[in-house]
Amino acid sequence: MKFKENRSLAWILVVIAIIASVLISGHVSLSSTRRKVMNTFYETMDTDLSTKSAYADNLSGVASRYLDRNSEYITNMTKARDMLLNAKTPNEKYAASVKITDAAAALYDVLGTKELNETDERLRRSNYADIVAVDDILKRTTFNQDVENFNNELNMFPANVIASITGIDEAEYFR
Amino acid sequence: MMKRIFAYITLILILSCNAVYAADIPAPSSAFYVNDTADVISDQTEKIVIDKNAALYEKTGAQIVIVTVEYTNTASIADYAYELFNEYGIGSSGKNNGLLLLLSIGDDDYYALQGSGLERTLSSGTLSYLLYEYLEPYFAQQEYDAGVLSVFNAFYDEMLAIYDTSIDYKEPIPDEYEYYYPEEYYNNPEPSVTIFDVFRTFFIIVVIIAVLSSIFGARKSTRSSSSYTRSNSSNIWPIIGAINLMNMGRNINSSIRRNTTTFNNNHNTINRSSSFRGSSSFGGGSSFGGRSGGFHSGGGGMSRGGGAGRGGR
Repeated sequence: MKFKENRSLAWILVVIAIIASVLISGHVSLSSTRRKVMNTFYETMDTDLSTKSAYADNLSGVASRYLDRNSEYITNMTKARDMLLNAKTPNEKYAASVKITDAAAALYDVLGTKELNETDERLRRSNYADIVAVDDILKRTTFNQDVENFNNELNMFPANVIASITGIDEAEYFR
Repeated sequence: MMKRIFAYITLILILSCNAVYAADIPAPSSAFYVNDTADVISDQTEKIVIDKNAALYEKTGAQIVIVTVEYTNTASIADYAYELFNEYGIGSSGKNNGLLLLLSIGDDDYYALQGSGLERTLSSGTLSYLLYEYLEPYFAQQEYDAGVLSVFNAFYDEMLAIYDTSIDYKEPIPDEYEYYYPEEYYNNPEPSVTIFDVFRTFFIIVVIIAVLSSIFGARKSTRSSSSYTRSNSSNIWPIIGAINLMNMGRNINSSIRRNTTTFNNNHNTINRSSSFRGSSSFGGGSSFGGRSGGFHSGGGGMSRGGGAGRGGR
């Protein structure tokens, strides 16, 4: 047998096998943890953001009865909702979410200066309260903390070496 | 050495900060459903909240808890409510269907927070509307008791609608409407002259005449014939029977009067107890008191923190 004859070759192969197994198992472990962290965002927070967008749409609907459809208040809201729709990462979604909140606040204020009927006044209040409530829920999630924990782990040895070799990126914050 | 001392001091400070924070949230009251640390809710309102909650929990597992504090002493009333909700574990642990109403009197603010299981059916928008409609008008006038009762009833009705059920609850009659029977009404002796008295007097006269005439008549007849005496003396027995009958009538008469008095007493008792303490459909306050621990132990709901507060922006 060649391996028996050439010891150094055997050692090299053993070392390669060990490194490969470390890299593979490290990669699997890190990517699994990353997936777990990101799943909490896409399984719950993303749904909450969609709900928030629906409330924002309701508020726009109320506003359209009292404002010009092309007014900056309504168009800003439409743009913010489109931004959320096209956002892919948590960071992009956060930016869009902030835009929706700002646009909703502006709509809420401007509608407060109009003579709304009873139903619309109720819708104005309740939809805005729902938007604020979703923000409150998002604020209280542990997602950003989980991301921080993962990224800290990723930047420590040997995870940082494995991550740089196998191409695992840091998780993105929702902020 | 200095580093170690510094570390110990930091640790002690952190722990004491946590202890202060924990102390800010009042421990649940024995009744659980109402914790009026600011002392703005009347006993009657508390009783209604507790009784209705008992029935609601039994039927749906939902709980509506009302807490009043002087100040929240934290960054925001929303954060305080969130901590309080999860500390108390309001609602069923499986359904997460609790609802908390927090009034911070000194901060002139209030907040309602639902469990995560109610987010869809009792959204923060709905809560905001109910607060605005049913609490705000009273709260602005500092009529906290009336406001709490008003918004609690609105929350309660909303819960029943969510679970598509109904509970037969009899509102207690307020004290001012309590009907009072004067003492003399049921302790009064019988009226001065009754029909029985007339009959009794008449019978007494008849009996006296009959007895006298039979005595004197019997003397005359003994002289004439013994057989006659026997037959005549037997005439006395119906008279004695009449006296017995009359006495029996008297007993019945007094018995009826006694019963009437008893009824009046009972009636009065019913009126008084039904005004508040006799809400027997839920087993009364005392029985609930014993069960409240059970209700709480069944709880454990969590909120995600999307509630509704006063005034919006």
